[in-house]
Amino acid sequence: MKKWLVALVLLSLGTFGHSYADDANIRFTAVDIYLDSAEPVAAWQFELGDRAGVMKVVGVEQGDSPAYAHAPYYDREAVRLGEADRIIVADYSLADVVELPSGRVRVATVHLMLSGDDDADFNLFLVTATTYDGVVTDARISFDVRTGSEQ
Amino acid sequence: MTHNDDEFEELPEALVEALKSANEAVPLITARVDREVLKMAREQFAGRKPAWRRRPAWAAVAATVLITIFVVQLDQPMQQANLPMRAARPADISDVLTLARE
Repeated sequence: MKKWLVALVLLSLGTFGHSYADDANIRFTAVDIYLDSAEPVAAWQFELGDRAGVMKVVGVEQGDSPAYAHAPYYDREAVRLGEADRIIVADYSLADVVELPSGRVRVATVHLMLSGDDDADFNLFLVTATTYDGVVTDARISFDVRTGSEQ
Repeated sequence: MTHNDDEFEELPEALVEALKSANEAVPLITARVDREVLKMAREQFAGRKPAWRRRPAWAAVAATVLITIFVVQLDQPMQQANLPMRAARPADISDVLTLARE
Protein backbone atom coordinates (compact mmCIF):
# COMPACT_ATOMS: atom_id res chain seq x y z
CA MET A 1 0.00 0.00 0.00
CA LYS A 2 2.79 2.35 0.96
CA LYS A 3 4.58 1.62 -2.33
CA TRP A 4 1.48 2.55 -4.29
CA LEU A 5 1.14 5.78 -2.35
CA VAL A 6 4.77 6.74 -3.01
CA ALA A 7 4.40 5.91 -6.71
CA LEU A 8 1.27 8.04 -6.91
CA VAL A 9 3.00 11.01 -5.26
CA LEU A 10 6.00 10.70 -7.60
CA LEU A 11 3.72 10.45 -10.61
CA SER A 12 1.86 13.58 -9.51
CA LEU A 13 5.11 15.48 -9.01
CA GLY A 14 6.27 14.41 -12.45
CA THR A 15 3.05 15.61 -14.04
CA PHE A 16 3.12 18.97 -12.27
CA GLY A 17 6.78 19.39 -13.08
CA HIS A 18 6.14 18.80 -16.77
CA SER A 19 3.33 21.33 -17.03
CA TYR A 20 5.38 23.84 -15.07
CA ALA A 21 8.20 23.44 -17.56
CA ASP A 22 5.75 24.09 -20.43
CA ASP A 23 4.38 27.19 -18.76
CA ALA A 24 7.88 28.47 -18.13
CA ASN A 25 8.55 28.68 -21.83
CA ILE A 26 5.85 31.23 -22.55
CA ARG A 27 6.87 34.13 -24.77
CA PHE A 28 5.05 36.81 -26.71
CA THR A 29 5.48 37.99 -30.24
CA ALA A 30 3.70 40.03 -32.89
CA VAL A 31 3.08 39.12 -36.50
CA ASP A 32 2.56 41.87 -39.06
CA ILE A 33 0.24 40.90 -41.89
CA TYR A 34 0.84 42.51 -45.29
CA LEU A 35 -1.46 42.63 -48.27
CA ASP A 36 -0.03 43.33 -51.69
CA SER A 37 -2.50 44.31 -54.38
CA ALA A 38 -2.19 46.23 -57.63
CA GLU A 39 -5.73 47.54 -57.23
CA PRO A 40 -7.19 49.48 -54.28
CA VAL A 41 -8.62 47.05 -51.73
CA ALA A 42 -12.03 47.73 -50.17
CA ALA A 43 -12.33 44.51 -48.17
CA TRP A 44 -9.99 41.76 -47.09
CA GLN A 45 -10.08 38.63 -44.97
CA PHE A 46 -7.33 36.27 -43.91
CA GLU A 47 -6.86 33.29 -41.62
CA LEU A 48 -3.79 32.73 -39.49
CA GLY A 49 -3.05 29.43 -37.81
CA ASP A 50 -0.12 27.51 -36.41
CA ARG A 51 0.68 23.96 -37.46
CA ALA A 52 2.84 23.46 -34.36
CA GLY A 53 -0.04 24.29 -32.05
CA VAL A 54 1.96 26.60 -29.80
CA MET A 55 0.23 29.93 -30.45
CA LYS A 56 -2.66 31.68 -28.78
CA VAL A 57 -3.90 35.01 -30.12
CA VAL A 58 -3.97 37.70 -27.46
CA GLY A 59 -4.84 40.74 -29.58
CA VAL A 60 -5.28 42.20 -33.04
CA GLU A 61 -4.20 45.66 -34.07
CA GLN A 62 -5.18 47.68 -37.14
CA GLY A 63 -2.79 48.34 -39.99
CA ASP A 64 -1.29 51.42 -41.56
CA SER A 65 -3.98 52.55 -43.99
CA PRO A 66 -6.18 55.49 -42.88
CA ALA A 67 -9.02 53.86 -44.83
CA TYR A 68 -9.04 51.14 -42.15
CA ALA A 69 -8.84 53.34 -39.11
CA HIS A 70 -10.20 50.94 -36.52
CA ALA A 71 -9.21 47.49 -35.32
CA PRO A 72 -10.39 44.84 -37.78
CA TYR A 73 -13.11 42.30 -37.09
CA TYR A 74 -12.23 39.04 -35.37
CA ASP A 75 -13.54 36.73 -32.67
CA ARG A 76 -12.89 38.91 -29.66
CA GLU A 77 -14.55 36.50 -27.25
CA ALA A 78 -12.25 33.62 -28.23
CA VAL A 79 -9.25 35.91 -27.83
CA ARG A 80 -10.47 37.16 -24.47
CA LEU A 81 -10.91 33.60 -23.22
CA GLY A 82 -7.46 32.58 -24.51
CA GLU A 83 -8.99 29.99 -26.84
CA ALA A 84 -7.90 31.44 -30.20
CA ASP A 85 -5.34 28.96 -31.50
CA ARG A 86 -6.17 30.20 -35.00
CA ILE A 87 -7.93 33.35 -36.06
CA ILE A 88 -9.88 34.82 -38.93
CA VAL A 89 -9.43 38.56 -39.31
CA ALA A 90 -11.34 40.76 -41.74
CA ASP A 91 -12.18 44.37 -42.44
CA TYR A 92 -13.85 46.55 -45.03
CA SER A 93 -13.82 50.23 -45.84
CA LEU A 94 -16.51 52.52 -47.20
CA ALA A 95 -13.95 55.14 -48.14
CA ASP A 96 -13.71 56.49 -51.68
CA VAL A 97 -11.65 54.49 -54.11
CA VAL A 98 -8.86 57.07 -54.08
CA GLU A 99 -8.44 56.60 -50.33
CA LEU A 100 -8.23 52.80 -50.44
CA PRO A 101 -4.80 51.26 -50.10
CA SER A 102 -2.97 49.56 -52.95
CA GLY A 103 0.50 48.09 -53.28
CA ARG A 104 2.04 46.49 -50.21
CA VAL A 105 0.37 47.62 -47.03
CA ARG A 106 0.23 46.30 -43.47
CA VAL A 107 -3.42 45.49 -42.84
CA ALA A 108 -3.13 44.08 -39.32
CA THR A 109 -0.79 42.99 -36.57
CA VAL A 110 -1.66 39.85 -34.62
CA HIS A 111 -0.24 39.63 -31.11
CA LEU A 112 0.51 36.10 -29.98
CA MET A 113 1.45 34.13 -26.92
CA LEU A 114 3.64 31.14 -27.71
CA SER A 115 4.10 28.28 -25.27
CA GLY A 116 6.17 25.12 -25.26
CA ASP A 117 9.56 24.35 -26.67
CA ASP A 118 8.59 24.23 -30.33
CA ASP A 119 8.65 27.18 -32.68
CA ALA A 120 5.42 28.32 -34.27
CA ASP A 121 4.82 27.12 -37.80
CA PHE A 122 2.49 29.80 -39.11
CA ASN A 123 -0.09 29.03 -41.73
CA LEU A 124 -1.45 32.23 -43.32
CA PHE A 125 -3.81 32.40 -46.26
CA LEU A 126 -5.93 35.05 -47.85
CA VAL A 127 -9.63 34.24 -47.89
CA THR A 128 -10.57 37.16 -50.08
CA ALA A 129 -9.62 40.66 -51.13
CA THR A 130 -12.04 42.75 -53.13
CA THR A 131 -11.90 46.03 -54.96
CA TYR A 132 -14.15 49.06 -54.55
CA ASP A 133 -16.58 47.47 -57.02
CA GLY A 134 -16.78 44.25 -55.01
CA VAL A 135 -14.71 42.28 -57.50
CA VAL A 136 -12.22 39.78 -56.12
CA THR A 137 -8.71 41.02 -56.80
CA ASP A 138 -5.56 39.01 -57.26
CA ALA A 139 -3.73 40.01 -54.09
CA ARG A 140 -0.90 38.36 -52.17
CA ILE A 141 -0.64 38.07 -48.42
CA SER A 142 2.49 37.69 -46.35
CA PHE A 143 3.61 38.08 -42.76
CA ASP A 144 6.56 39.37 -40.84
CA VAL A 145 7.33 38.20 -37.33
CA ARG A 146 8.51 41.16 -35.27
CA THR A 147 11.94 39.63 -34.92
CA GLY A 148 12.40 40.72 -38.51
CA SER A 149 11.97 37.45 -40.38
CA GLU A 150 9.57 38.02 -43.23
CA GLN A 151 8.04 34.93 -44.84
CA MET B 1 -104.39 42.78 13.61
CA THR B 2 -101.13 43.56 15.30
CA HIS B 3 -99.11 46.70 15.11
CA ASN B 4 -96.77 44.99 12.71
CA ASP B 5 -99.63 43.90 10.48
CA ASP B 6 -100.79 47.51 10.26
CA GLU B 7 -97.35 48.56 9.07
CA PHE B 8 -97.43 45.94 6.30
CA GLU B 9 -100.82 46.93 5.00
CA GLU B 10 -99.55 49.49 2.55
CA LEU B 11 -96.63 47.41 1.24
CA PRO B 12 -96.80 45.12 -1.81
CA GLU B 13 -97.74 41.57 -0.99
CA ALA B 14 -94.52 40.10 -2.39
CA LEU B 15 -92.40 42.36 -0.27
CA VAL B 16 -94.41 41.52 2.80
CA GLU B 17 -93.84 37.82 2.27
CA ALA B 18 -90.13 38.38 1.72
CA LEU B 19 -89.81 40.38 4.92
CA LYS B 20 -91.70 37.74 6.86
CA SER B 21 -89.52 34.95 5.59
CA ALA B 22 -86.42 36.94 6.50
CA ASN B 23 -87.47 36.84 10.10
CA GLU B 24 -87.62 33.08 10.21
CA ALA B 25 -85.04 31.19 12.24
CA VAL B 26 -81.78 30.35 10.48
CA PRO B 27 -81.54 26.62 9.76
CA LEU B 28 -79.12 25.01 12.17
CA ILE B 29 -76.12 23.31 10.48
CA THR B 30 -74.66 20.75 12.80
CA ALA B 31 -70.99 19.79 12.87
CA ARG B 32 -71.88 16.45 11.30
CA VAL B 33 -73.62 18.11 8.36
CA ASP B 34 -70.67 20.46 7.95
CA ARG B 35 -68.25 17.51 7.80
CA GLU B 36 -70.43 15.68 5.28
CA VAL B 37 -70.58 18.71 3.00
CA LEU B 38 -66.81 19.18 3.24
CA LYS B 39 -66.24 15.51 2.47
CA MET B 40 -68.49 15.66 -0.60
CA ALA B 41 -66.72 18.77 -1.84
CA ARG B 42 -63.33 17.16 -1.48
CA GLU B 43 -64.45 14.05 -3.34
CA GLN B 44 -65.91 16.22 -6.10
CA PHE B 45 -62.67 18.13 -6.72
CA ALA B 46 -60.17 15.36 -5.91
CA GLY B 47 -59.76 14.23 -9.54
CA ARG B 48 -59.53 17.70 -10.96
CA LYS B 49 -56.12 18.77 -12.38
CA PRO B 50 -54.56 22.11 -11.46
CA ALA B 51 -55.31 24.95 -13.81
CA TRP B 52 -51.86 24.88 -15.43
CA ARG B 53 -52.17 21.17 -16.29
CA ARG B 54 -55.50 21.41 -18.03
CA ARG B 55 -55.49 20.69 -21.74
CA PRO B 56 -56.53 24.12 -23.04
CA ALA B 57 -53.42 25.71 -21.46
CA TRP B 58 -51.05 23.22 -23.09
CA ALA B 59 -52.86 23.51 -26.37
CA ALA B 60 -52.36 27.27 -26.31
CA VAL B 61 -48.64 26.91 -25.59
CA ALA B 62 -48.17 24.31 -28.34
CA ALA B 63 -50.02 26.45 -30.84
CA THR B 64 -47.86 29.45 -29.96
CA VAL B 65 -44.64 27.44 -30.41
CA LEU B 66 -45.76 26.04 -33.76
CA ILE B 67 -46.76 29.43 -35.05
CA THR B 68 -43.41 30.84 -33.96
CA ILE B 69 -41.50 28.04 -35.71
CA PHE B 70 -43.42 28.45 -38.93
CA VAL B 71 -43.08 32.20 -38.88
CA VAL B 72 -39.30 31.94 -38.36
CA GLN B 73 -38.92 29.29 -41.08
CA LEU B 74 -40.94 31.32 -43.50
CA ASP B 75 -39.00 34.44 -42.66
CA GLN B 76 -35.51 32.97 -43.21
CA PRO B 77 -35.76 32.20 -46.94
CA MET B 78 -37.06 35.70 -47.53
CA GLN B 79 -34.03 37.19 -45.80
CA GLN B 80 -31.66 34.93 -47.71
CA ALA B 81 -33.34 35.82 -50.95
CA ASN B 82 -32.67 39.48 -50.24
CA LEU B 83 -28.95 38.96 -49.62
CA PRO B 84 -26.72 39.63 -52.60
CA MET B 85 -24.58 36.59 -51.78
CA ARG B 86 -23.36 33.89 -54.05
CA ALA B 87 -24.74 30.58 -52.82
CA ALA B 88 -21.76 28.49 -53.91
CA ARG B 89 -19.46 29.64 -51.09
CA PRO B 90 -19.63 30.70 -47.46
CA ALA B 91 -20.26 34.34 -46.69
CA ASP B 92 -17.19 36.48 -46.18
CA ILE B 93 -16.21 40.11 -45.72
CA SER B 94 -16.98 40.99 -49.34
CA ASP B 95 -20.63 40.19 -48.66
CA VAL B 96 -20.50 42.44 -45.63
CA LEU B 97 -19.07 45.21 -47.79
CA THR B 98 -21.87 44.79 -50.30
CA LEU B 99 -24.50 44.95 -47.56
CA ALA B 100 -22.84 47.95 -45.94
CA ARG B 101 -23.00 49.86 -49.21
CA GLU B 102 -26.75 49.30 -49.62
